[in-house]
Amino acid sequence: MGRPRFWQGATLACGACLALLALAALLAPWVAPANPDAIDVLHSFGRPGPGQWLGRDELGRDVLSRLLYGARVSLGVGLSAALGMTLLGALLGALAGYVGGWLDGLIMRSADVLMCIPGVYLILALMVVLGPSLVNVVLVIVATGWTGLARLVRAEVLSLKGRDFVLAARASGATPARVLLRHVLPNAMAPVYVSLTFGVAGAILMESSLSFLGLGVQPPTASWGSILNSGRESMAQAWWLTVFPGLAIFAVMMAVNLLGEAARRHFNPREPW
Amino acid sequence: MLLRYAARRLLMAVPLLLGISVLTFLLIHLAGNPVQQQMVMNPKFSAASAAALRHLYGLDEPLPLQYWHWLSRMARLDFGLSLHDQRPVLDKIAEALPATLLLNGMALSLVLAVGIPFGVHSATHPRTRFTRLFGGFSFVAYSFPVFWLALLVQLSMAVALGWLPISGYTSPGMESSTGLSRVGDVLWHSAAPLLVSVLGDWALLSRYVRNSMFEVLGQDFIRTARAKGLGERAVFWRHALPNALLPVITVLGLSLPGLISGSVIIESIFAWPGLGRLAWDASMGYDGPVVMGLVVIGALMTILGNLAADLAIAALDPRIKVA
Repeated sequence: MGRPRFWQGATLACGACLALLALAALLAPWVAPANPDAIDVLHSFGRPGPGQWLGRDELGRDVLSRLLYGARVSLGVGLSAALGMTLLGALLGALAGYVGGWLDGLIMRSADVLMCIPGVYLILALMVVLGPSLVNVVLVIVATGWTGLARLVRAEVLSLKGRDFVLAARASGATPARVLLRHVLPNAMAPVYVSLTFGVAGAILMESSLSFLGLGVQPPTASWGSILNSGRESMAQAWWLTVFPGLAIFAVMMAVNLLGEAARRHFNPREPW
Repeated sequence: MLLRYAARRLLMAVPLLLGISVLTFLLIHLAGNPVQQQMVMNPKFSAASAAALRHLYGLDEPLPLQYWHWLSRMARLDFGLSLHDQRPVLDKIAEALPATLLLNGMALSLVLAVGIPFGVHSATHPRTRFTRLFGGFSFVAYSFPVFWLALLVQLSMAVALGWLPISGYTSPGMESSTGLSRVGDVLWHSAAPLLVSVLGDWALLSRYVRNSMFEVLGQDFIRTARAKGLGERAVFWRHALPNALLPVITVLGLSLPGLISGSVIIESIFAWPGLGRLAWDASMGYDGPVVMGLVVIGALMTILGNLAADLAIAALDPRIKVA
């Protein structure tokens, strides 16, 4: 697995798969074979076959269509939560490192506190406070996910702060904001890119876990996790309700993690194979 | 010297604990209070009884004073009563703890017993077919959503093949049995959740051990040991392995809270009556005191786990200077 060519191929293949999936999710109203919420009780638990390629659920809804619409929720939440926590983490980390002083103390001690509470419990507690909804899932993932990246970016910024080019920028009269945004941050982006890709995988997984536990999207909206959850009751008669949504989550996780691994190798080429 | 280090680390944990307590208190405050719930749920609830209830809960005091009272109760591990059945939160936690400890204790031992040899082997035999295969496998395992794995195990082992029970802690009718038959019954029920948690964590630990071992094998002291004529066996057992396993202690310390807090997903899928399931039930039922009690205990365990790992490493690794 150590060959660069493998990772180039993997990056291309995974990127293409994800792009295709994102396109299918965006175009769901046109590509989905049926209305995802159309109930057809006469055909409940229809087996996978022609016309209903991935089968039907307990209310006779088409699983493939529900998965396509669910992809909008799962990918949308995953991308926006990952973007949000990466932005927040990079910004807070850069501020802590560049400004220092009490701001540094405040930001980093808050990160310490958040990191001390077991993640799942913290997220459950926040969901109890905020109530289950899609927006709250994003908020909770952002609020708990920024800490690791903030530490990394802060360390990078601290080491860049004293470099000659930063001093030169300051000496030539650039404002602190300009120095930070134009000169320091662009040189501290390696951990940000890596964290963004792994963050997408983590956020998609978290959204589907929360929806699976009943704390995420609320019916009738479908996300991959909630489709899996509703299939639990009828596992004995309809295996396809358990197999296909999970396969979708797994495939996306694999693709995003491979991309993240490729990014990590690109930025630290000295890692062991 | 180690004692002074321990004392200093304990002192450093105090502001952290205070921060956690402030955060938890604010969350509870934001979650709303029982009086508000009564006012929404009960139309006959008068303003006077609301005031009386507020006084009873101490909600008419200023916020800092409320926090102080709450903090002093926390210090005695008094988390209040569950909104669900009015029983003390600590009792509910104590009841759920044994099931979680049993499952996670077994899982952690298995993960260590399997993960360390795999990781070490793939570091000492790089570029072999086994290592490549294992690398690919651990990557797949890393991307595998744990709830899907649990459902697949349930579907195949319990529903399709009927080898294992679908869920639960004991068989119906065995709840009050004792002795060997009960031990066997509980162990039989633990097989499926155990399989799921081991499969997920094993790959992670192996990767970790592999990276650590790989790094150690490239260090100068290994070359020195070989140069002075030590056999491969001595180099491996006396010089490489102990150094490579040091970071595993940190991982062990980090997994201490997990050992106690349990997996919400695995326990709720397999109806395993541990802390993870308690947390899930409580958050589904908006049982704030139980959730917050679990948050505080989980945070305590994290701090203790980190502390224990740091102390163990300081004691075992002479390169780390403490003072």
